[in-house]
Amino acid sequence: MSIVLKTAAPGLPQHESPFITAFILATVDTLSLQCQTKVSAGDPISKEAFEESGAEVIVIGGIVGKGIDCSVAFSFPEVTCCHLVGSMLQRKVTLGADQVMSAASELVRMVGFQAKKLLNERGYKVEAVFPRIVVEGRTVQIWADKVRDGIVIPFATPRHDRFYLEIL
Amino acid sequence: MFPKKTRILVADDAEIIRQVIEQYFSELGYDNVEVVEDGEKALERLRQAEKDGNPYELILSDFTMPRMDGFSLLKHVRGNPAFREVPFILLSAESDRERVMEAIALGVSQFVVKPFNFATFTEALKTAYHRK
Repeated sequence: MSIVLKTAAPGLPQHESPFITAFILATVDTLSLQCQTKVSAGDPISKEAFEESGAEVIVIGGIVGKGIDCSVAFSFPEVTCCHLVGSMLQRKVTLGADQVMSAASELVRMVGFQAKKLLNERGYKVEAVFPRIVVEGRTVQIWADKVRDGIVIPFATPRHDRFYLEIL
Repeated sequence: MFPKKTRILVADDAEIIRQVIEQYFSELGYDNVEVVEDGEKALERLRQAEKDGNPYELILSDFTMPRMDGFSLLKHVRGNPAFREVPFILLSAESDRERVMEAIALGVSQFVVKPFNFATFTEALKTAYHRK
């Protein structure tokens, strides 16, 4: 399965490091607080150079504001979602597909609002974050129009589970 | 801190957050906790509980929910003499100053920003209790 993200006109500040940093910090903070999981971010890579993430759950949203108009997508292998949710609940969990998607969606919502707060503190004018679409599948890939380059930030948990944030 | 037998109502549309809150309450020794998915259901439960003579003594509500959001629920609660005094903790992923100020003006007992951990949650309960 392939998802097409129609990215809008240029104006996306995704290559500005404060923008990327805000999303990294928001992700790290959210998962640290809510899931008691210290994740680490790897070096951002260009979407073009990014190979398939092996994602089974993808949460897609948008961020809009003055001079900002972009899509963000988190892609998780299902096992990563289960571990993060298990950390939230402090027990091992076996999740149904609905629960995995619901949990991933909620976590990403928190990340989005955290990022909005951080960006606005840095002088951006973010007005709205998201709404979210959650996609589940076995061979899900995100494809973006080549209007502008996208950025992919890999994250790893202490158990070496990986997930990815794409800013497109 | 609230007595362990406190009757608690939690409203949040995210199942995972309802589970986390139940887990936190359980760790603190509270077992009289009921959960609903939106403000409308919360209001129905509050009215029914009042009618049954077994009112809720603490409300935790998410801000953004379908049908009735946390602000509307808070307005209903504070506008009804039957539950006006019930401590009300609002949870929100968005923490804009205007939103927090509006919640305070409406009489919220405590505002908790998501994400939150066990320590933040416990602190919010303590503060809400002292503000009773």
